[in-house]
Amino acid sequence: MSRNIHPDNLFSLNNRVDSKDGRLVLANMIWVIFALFIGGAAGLLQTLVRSGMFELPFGIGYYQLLTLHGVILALVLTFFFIMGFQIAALSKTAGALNRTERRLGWIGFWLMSAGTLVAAVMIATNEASVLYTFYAPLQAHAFYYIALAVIIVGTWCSVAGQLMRYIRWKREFRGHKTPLLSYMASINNVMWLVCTIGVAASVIFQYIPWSLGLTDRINVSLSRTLFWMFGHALVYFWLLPAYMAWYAVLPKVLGTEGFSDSLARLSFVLFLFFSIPVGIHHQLTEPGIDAFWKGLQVVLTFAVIVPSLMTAFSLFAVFETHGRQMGATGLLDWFKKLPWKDARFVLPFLGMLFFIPGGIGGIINASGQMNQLVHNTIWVVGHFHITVGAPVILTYFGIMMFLLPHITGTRITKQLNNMGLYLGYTWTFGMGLMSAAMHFAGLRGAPRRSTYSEYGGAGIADEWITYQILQAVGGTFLFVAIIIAVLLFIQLMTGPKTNVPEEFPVAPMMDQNAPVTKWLENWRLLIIITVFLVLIAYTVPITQMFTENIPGAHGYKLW
Amino acid sequence: MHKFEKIWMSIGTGSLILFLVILGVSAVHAGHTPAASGIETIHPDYVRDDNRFSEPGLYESSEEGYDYDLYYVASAFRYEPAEVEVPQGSRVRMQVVTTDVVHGFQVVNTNINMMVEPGLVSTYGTNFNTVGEYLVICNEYCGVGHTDMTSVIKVVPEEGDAEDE
Amino acid sequence: MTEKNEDRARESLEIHEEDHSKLDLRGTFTMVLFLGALMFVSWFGAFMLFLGRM
Repeated sequence: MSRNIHPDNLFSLNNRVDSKDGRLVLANMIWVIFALFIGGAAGLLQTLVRSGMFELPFGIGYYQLLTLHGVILALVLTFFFIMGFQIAALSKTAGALNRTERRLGWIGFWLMSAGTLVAAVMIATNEASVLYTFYAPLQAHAFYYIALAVIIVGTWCSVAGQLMRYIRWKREFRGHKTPLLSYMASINNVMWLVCTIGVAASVIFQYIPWSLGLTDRINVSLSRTLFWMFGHALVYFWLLPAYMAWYAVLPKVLGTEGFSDSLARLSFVLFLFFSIPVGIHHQLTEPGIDAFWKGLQVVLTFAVIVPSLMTAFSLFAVFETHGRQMGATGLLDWFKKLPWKDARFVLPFLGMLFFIPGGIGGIINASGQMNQLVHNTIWVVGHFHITVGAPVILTYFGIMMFLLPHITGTRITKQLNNMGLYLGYTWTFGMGLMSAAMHFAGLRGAPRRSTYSEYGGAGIADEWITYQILQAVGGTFLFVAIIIAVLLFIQLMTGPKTNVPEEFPVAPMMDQNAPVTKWLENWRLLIIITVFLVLIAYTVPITQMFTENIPGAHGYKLW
Repeated sequence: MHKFEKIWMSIGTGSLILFLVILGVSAVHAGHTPAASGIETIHPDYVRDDNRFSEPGLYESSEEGYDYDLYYVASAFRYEPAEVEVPQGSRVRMQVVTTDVVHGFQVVNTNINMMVEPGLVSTYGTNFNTVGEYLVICNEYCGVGHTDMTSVIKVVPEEGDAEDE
Repeated sequence: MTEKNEDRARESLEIHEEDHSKLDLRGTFTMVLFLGALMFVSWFGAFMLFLGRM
């Protein structure tokens, strides 16, 4: 029942997500669909407010709505999706979870659900309009911080169950390569456990006592630095499940093999190493940190670009190889051979296109002093909407296309596939328009996280408003796409049952039979290097925040 | 590894290294280190007791290499001074502090863009070479009046001693 | 794993190594070079804007 899948049998079509695991996955996915709708509605309203043509009814505050949008999409949607997908990937490639592992998954699910509901109440009652980054010394109700902590603890439980499942496989088949998807999920989980230590410490030892009135003041620099130690790894936590699908699922959708197993593993290991000791690139324009340490983390940030360069090559290589097998002979005509009518391919592919400007924009953001050009302008909002808001989410959608029917025992019909295509194109148009307008407005100085304002009639603010109208048009298309998505996902779960449910595609790699690269499977070594890099990057800056006697700050509720 | 993959990875990492070298040279040799770097503390409750911030504005600088010091105090939800004139072509050391929460000090269409955090002084050296009115805004969410925080820096042609206070 | 299996694994490994270098990846190379050029142009564009506002 919860047996390990034999290494010779990894790609058998009989390997399915276990039905009990499936229920857990589905529970997580239902939160994803719900969060998508609520968060998307909030996003639409924000763009409308910023266009200057709409005012929020019922005394809802712009920043209240923005807090909701950030928490429910950046945290809730992504966390539930990642837990659900990784459990499915483990169940499919390593074998069903056992009782303890699955129970941990459920405990995690309920903790995350409870935390989400409490946070939602705090936001709804306007007790927590501090945005999802909750920068001190704006002070929310203590329950908001406790709720966020509970959500994180929930992910830890789920992650613990997943890691136990992975280790169980590894123990039985010592010396074998662990199944690629289970390996990748474990890398993501280990990264998550390491990176959340900082933010958890900050919430437990700084925010909660301070918001309860047990302590009077808070060390703002320290809280921000601990937040971003987690905050940048967070974006890779979102991205790696998408990369899992790009490396290991998409080739099978095309009907071919993945490019390289060892390259895929290597790129994930590089993500593990370099996702965490780079958070200060979000604090490049802050006081309290010496220029040297900012510079060092910029260099480390550039190291995390390397695995994405590798990924780009291997994806094109898979597409080209497939196209050539299908008879393409010219330089670029293999593009035509790709399955342009298959939503499972088209959705992630559109996401990849967004990742080209998204990645390049990221390099610009992280470029040390150049960050002053764009810091806290709406360029940054444009940037993360074409990273997490397109490549990541469109790939999640592509995964849900097959995962939901795989679990509920139904199939993607032609009509649902077409809906998936419409979803992709509508999303692409809306996001393209909105994010382009955001990038250009940002270069002209328009700030992020700001409600509609004419800034005392300044001429430049007038220019920003033109872009904000375009953003509202883009936001409207995105909301239409979200409605399509919600309807699509509901139908994918509730279609007629069949004996041959939709496949969970997992591709073998061209070098599948190459011997195991030992150090890539040596977790002790990987964890030591990860922690070592974090210590190098953070020991001095954080020590200085204690030794330099930076005066603490009182809490403020300014909304 | 495929031959093309090797070439691509070399070109890719090569460009990244080139970017880093350019940034490093510009930081060290042209003085373009990231804004506000370094640690200078100030107690947020006693900002006004500091000579520089009791009446913030433009003052002749005693620092070597600077013509003026421009002091700003940020608080929810205003900037002091609300308007300031700076002679064209002057080299200015800007120092900004907050009396309450975190603010984002941004002078639109310039590279002056830095966080202001309670307990710390944010410093940035810059030149004002082009005549015009520059809008100062707050780009870090600080509360319900966040977008009301504005100021104007007027860069005026050099003539007379209009800059003395 | 039996010895036979190992042999087979080694054999297919050689074949696969062979495979990789024999793949026709001209198009891939063109695409990534295009990507690199885009990265180059965008970065220097931003850097120029940064210097212009200095």
